[in-house]
Amino acid sequence: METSQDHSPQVDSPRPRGANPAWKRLLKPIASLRLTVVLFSLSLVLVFYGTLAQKENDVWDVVNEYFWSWWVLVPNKLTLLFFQIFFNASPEANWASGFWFPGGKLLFWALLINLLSAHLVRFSLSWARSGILVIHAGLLMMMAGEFVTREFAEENVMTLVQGGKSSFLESTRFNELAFTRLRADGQVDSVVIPQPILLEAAKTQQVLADEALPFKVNVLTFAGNCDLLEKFPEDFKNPATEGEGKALALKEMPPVTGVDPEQRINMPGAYVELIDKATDKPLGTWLVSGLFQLTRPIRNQEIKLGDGQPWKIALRNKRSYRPYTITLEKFTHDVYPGTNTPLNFQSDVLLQDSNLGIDRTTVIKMNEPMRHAGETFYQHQALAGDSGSVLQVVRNPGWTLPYLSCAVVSMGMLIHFGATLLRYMRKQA
Amino acid sequence: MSQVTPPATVPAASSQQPWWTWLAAAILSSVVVLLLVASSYRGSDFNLDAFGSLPIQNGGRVKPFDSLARTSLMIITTRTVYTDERGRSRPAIEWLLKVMTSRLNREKPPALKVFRIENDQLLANLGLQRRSGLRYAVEEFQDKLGILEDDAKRANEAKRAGKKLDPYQAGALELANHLQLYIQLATFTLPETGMFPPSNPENSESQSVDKQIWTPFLTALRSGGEGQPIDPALEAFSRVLGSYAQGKPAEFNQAVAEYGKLMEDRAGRLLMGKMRVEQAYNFANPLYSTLVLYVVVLLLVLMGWLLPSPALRLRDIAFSTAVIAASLHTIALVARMYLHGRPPVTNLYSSAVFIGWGCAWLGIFIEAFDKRGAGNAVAAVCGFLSLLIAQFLSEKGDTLEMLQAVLDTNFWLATHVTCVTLGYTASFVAGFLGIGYVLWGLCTPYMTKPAGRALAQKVYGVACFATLLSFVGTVLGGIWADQSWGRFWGWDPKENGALLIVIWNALILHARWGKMVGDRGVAVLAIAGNMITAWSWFGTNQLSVGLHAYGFDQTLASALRWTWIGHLVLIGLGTLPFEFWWSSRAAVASQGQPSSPPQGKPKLAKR
Repeated sequence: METSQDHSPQVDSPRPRGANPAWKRLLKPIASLRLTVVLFSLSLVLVFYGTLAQKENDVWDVVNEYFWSWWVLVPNKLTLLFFQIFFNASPEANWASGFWFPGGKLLFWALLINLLSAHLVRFSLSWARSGILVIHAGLLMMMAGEFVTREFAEENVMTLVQGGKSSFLESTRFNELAFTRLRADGQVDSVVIPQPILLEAAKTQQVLADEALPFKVNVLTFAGNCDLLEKFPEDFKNPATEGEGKALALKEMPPVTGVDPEQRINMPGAYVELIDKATDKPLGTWLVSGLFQLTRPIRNQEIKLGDGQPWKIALRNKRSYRPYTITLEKFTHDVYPGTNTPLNFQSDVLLQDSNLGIDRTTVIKMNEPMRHAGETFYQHQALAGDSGSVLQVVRNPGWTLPYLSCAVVSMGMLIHFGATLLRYMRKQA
Repeated sequence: MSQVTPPATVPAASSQQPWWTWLAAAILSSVVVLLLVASSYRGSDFNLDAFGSLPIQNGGRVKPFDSLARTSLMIITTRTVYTDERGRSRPAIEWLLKVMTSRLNREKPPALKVFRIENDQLLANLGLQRRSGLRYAVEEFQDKLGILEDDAKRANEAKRAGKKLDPYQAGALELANHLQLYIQLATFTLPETGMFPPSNPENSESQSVDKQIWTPFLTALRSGGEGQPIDPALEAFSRVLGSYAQGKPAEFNQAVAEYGKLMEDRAGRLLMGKMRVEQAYNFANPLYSTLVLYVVVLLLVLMGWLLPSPALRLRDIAFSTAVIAASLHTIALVARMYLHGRPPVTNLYSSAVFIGWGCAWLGIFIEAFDKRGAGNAVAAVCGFLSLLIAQFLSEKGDTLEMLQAVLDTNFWLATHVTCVTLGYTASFVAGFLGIGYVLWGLCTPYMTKPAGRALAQKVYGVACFATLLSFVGTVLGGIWADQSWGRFWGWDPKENGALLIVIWNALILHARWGKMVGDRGVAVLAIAGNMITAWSWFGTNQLSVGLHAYGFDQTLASALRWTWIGHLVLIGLGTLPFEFWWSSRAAVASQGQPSSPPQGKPKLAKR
C-alpha cells in the first residue's frame, strides 16, 4: 500500500538513490512491506492460538497472556487440541512443552513502528495516497481506544432486587474479605482486605492486623474458584471451627473457561483463622466464600466478642461506592409466547443524584443502555426467579474512539478502493 | 473492484448477447423448476393442503401444521417425505396426521418406517438388519427400547460431563431424542406448543394474537373435564382427528374447513394468509430448485468450455440461467424475511443461504464485466455448495426459529451480521476465483498470460471488497457489543475469527502491493483465505465456548477437515513450479522458445 502506483506493479517509480537522506536509508528496512506481511502472519498465528487457548482458560487470562504480553509460551497441547477436534487425534495423546511466540504487545509495537516509518520514508501528499493515510490514522485511533479501555476502563455490576436500591458497584473479577459491624448510632464500621493481599498472605502465611479490628487475621488457604460440598470427601479434615464452614467442605476448582456459554464467574473461597489481639488466642476458623453472597442473608457469619455488636465476616465482590442511588422500580422478563426463550429483559429504574440534581426514571434493556456520570449501565442478568436485576456498569473514557475510528477507516477504504476503481474505469475508457 | 476489458487475443464471448439465449434459459429453468415442484405434489382424498395451512404455536412462533410436520420429519428421517406401508412416497403432513391419530385407532396402525439409524453397532444391538435407506419403524425394535434407554442415558451423562461421544453413543442419543419427539407429537405433549388461540383476547388492542399464549391441547381437554365449557375449537379439532382416524375423507374435509373458519375468526385473516404463504413456500421449496439450477449452470459452463462453438452460445445461456437462478434465490430470501420479520441472517442456516445468494450475484457481476465463464462458474459452484450446506443445516429443526434476547434487534442484525456475512461471501468468491486460476492454468493449456492476469486482477479486486466488508462488519460487531454489554472487543472466538479474515485479506493486499507475490501468489493466498473463512464460519463454533457458539457437531467437524485438506492440496498444486503448468508449457511450445511463465515472476516461492 505504500507505493503510489499500487496497481501497476510493473512500473517502478523512479527514485534517485542520492536524493535519500541517511535517516531514510536507515528506516527503509523497518518500513518494508515484507516486514508488514511477516507481522500480519505472526498476528494470525497469535490470534488463532489465543482462540484455542480459550477452550481451557479464562478469557481474561488468555487476553493477558496472549494479547497484552510481549512473549507467550504457547503450549503444544493447543495444537493437539485442534487436531483432536477436527482431525480425530487420539484423546489420550499428550504433547508436552510448547514454543515461545511474540505476544500481542510486541506485534502491535512492531506493526506501529513499521507503519510509521513507512509513512515517513514514503511520505507524499497526493490524492492517490490520501485514502491510505486516512485508513491508517483510523486504525491508530482504534488501537488508542483499545489502550484507553485496557488501562482505564472499569467493569462492575450493580445488583438490585425488585423495589430495592443501591449506591455501590461490585467487581466480578476482584474480591475482598470484609469485616463489618453495625454501631449503636446506626453507622457501619467496615474493614476490607483486597484479594491480592489475601493471596499474598495465604502464600506467606503472614498474619494480618488492622487498628480498627480487635483481632488478627490469618488466611490459611485461598482458592480463586471453589465449590462447597455438603458431603465431606474421605480423609477431609475440616479446618473450620465456626460458622457455616462446620457443615461444608471447600473444594478448589479450576478457573472458568473462555467466554463461558453460561457466563459463569469465578467463586473464590478461603479458610480464615482469627486471633484475639488482646490474648493472642485463636477465636476460631471460618470458611468464607463468594458463593455465600448468593444465599444472603441465610449465610450470615458472625464473630461474637465479649461485648457490643458482633462483627460479620464475608468474602464478597470488591465494592466501590457512588454518589448516586439507583432504585429498581420494575423488572420485566418477557419470553416468546409459550416458551422459555427470553425475548426481553428490562429494568425500569429511578436514578437519583443529589450532586447533579437528578431525579428521573429510565428504562434499561438489552441493546439500550443508560449513560450517567461517565458510566454506562447495561442490562446484564436476571436474579433467580426474576426477583431482581443485575446491571453491568462500565466506565470507559475511550468509548467513543471505536465509533470514530470505524467511520474514519471506512471512509478511508471507500476513498482508496473507490479511487482505484475510478483509475481503472479511466484506463478502460 | 478492478475490472479490465480482456485484450483482443483472449477468446471471450462478444458483448452482445442475443435475445434467444434468454428465452432458452427461461424455458430451461421453467422446465427444471416445474418438474421439481410437480414431482413433490401428492394427491389424497383427504384435503391435506387445507389441514397443513392450519396454524399452531410452536417454539415461540405461529406456524402452519405443514411446517411442524416437515421440520419434525426432517429431524427424524432427514427428508420431508416418508414411505408409507405400500411403498409410496407421501408428504410430511400425512405422517403427522397418522402420528397424531395413532392412539385413536382401534386397530393397530401400520408401522411407519421413518427412524433413520446409521450406526451398525446400534442396529445390531436393536436386533435390526441393515437395509437400504436405513429407516426403521418403532415396532421393529420395541422389545429393545430398554437397551436404547440405558445407552442414551449414559451418553447424555457423558455429554453433560463435556466428553466427546463415540459414534455409537451419538447414534443412541440421537435416536432416543427422535423417539421422544415422536412420542411428544403422538401424545400432544410437545413442549412450547399451543393449539388454540384465545377466543376473546382481553387486550387484543395492544397485543396481536400471535404474541399471546395459545392453549395447549391437553390443557384445553382437561379444563373441559373440570366442568368449564368446552372450547369449540377443541371440539372441531377432535372431529378433524376422529374423522381422519376413521378414514372418512368427506367428514375430515368438512371438519378441517370448520376448524379453519374458527381459527380465522380468532387469529385473523392476516395471520391465516401468512400461514398459506409459508405452506406455499414449503411446497414450492424454491431453494431446492435454485440448488438444482446452479448445477444446471455449472453443467452449461463446463459444456461451453468443452465445446467452444460460438454458435451454441452456451456461455450466454449459462449466464442467463445463472441470473434466473439468483433471482429465484432472491425471491426465496425475501419470502423468508417476510415470514420471519427479520433481516436475512439470523442463524447458521440463513447465513448459508445468504452467502450463497451473495456469491451468486457477485459471480454474475464479474461475468457481466468479463464474459469468459469464470463468474458463471463461481456463481454456480458457490451457490450450489452453500445451499447444500443449508440443506444439511435444515435437518436440525425449524430454520425460522426465534432469536435469543440479545439478538432481538433488527438494526444490528441488518448492519453487523449482514456486513460480516457479505465479507465471508467476498472472501469465498476470491478464494473460488483463485481455485479457478490454479485449475485453469495447471490442468488446461488455455490460460494465456493476459487471460491469467485478468483473472488474478479479479481475485485482487474481490479481496479489496472483502477487506472493506469484513473490516466494517467486524467493527460494527464491536460497536454492537459496546451497546449491549459495554465491551467493544472481547476476544470472543467468533470475533477473533472475523479478525483473522480481516488480517488475511489485508495480508493479501499488502503482499501484492509490496510485490512479494504476483498473479499466481494472489490466487494461492485467496485459496488459503477460504480455509480461514471456513474456520471463522464453522470452526469457531466447534470450540463450544463463547457467546456466538452453538455447539459441537461431528459432521461439521469432518466436513471442515476435508475442506481444509482439499484446500491444502489446491495450494500445493498452485505452488508447483511452472514447468508443471500445462498453460505455461503450451505457451512455451507455441513460441518455440523458453519464455517467461504466463503470470509474471513466480515470486511466491521466495516466501
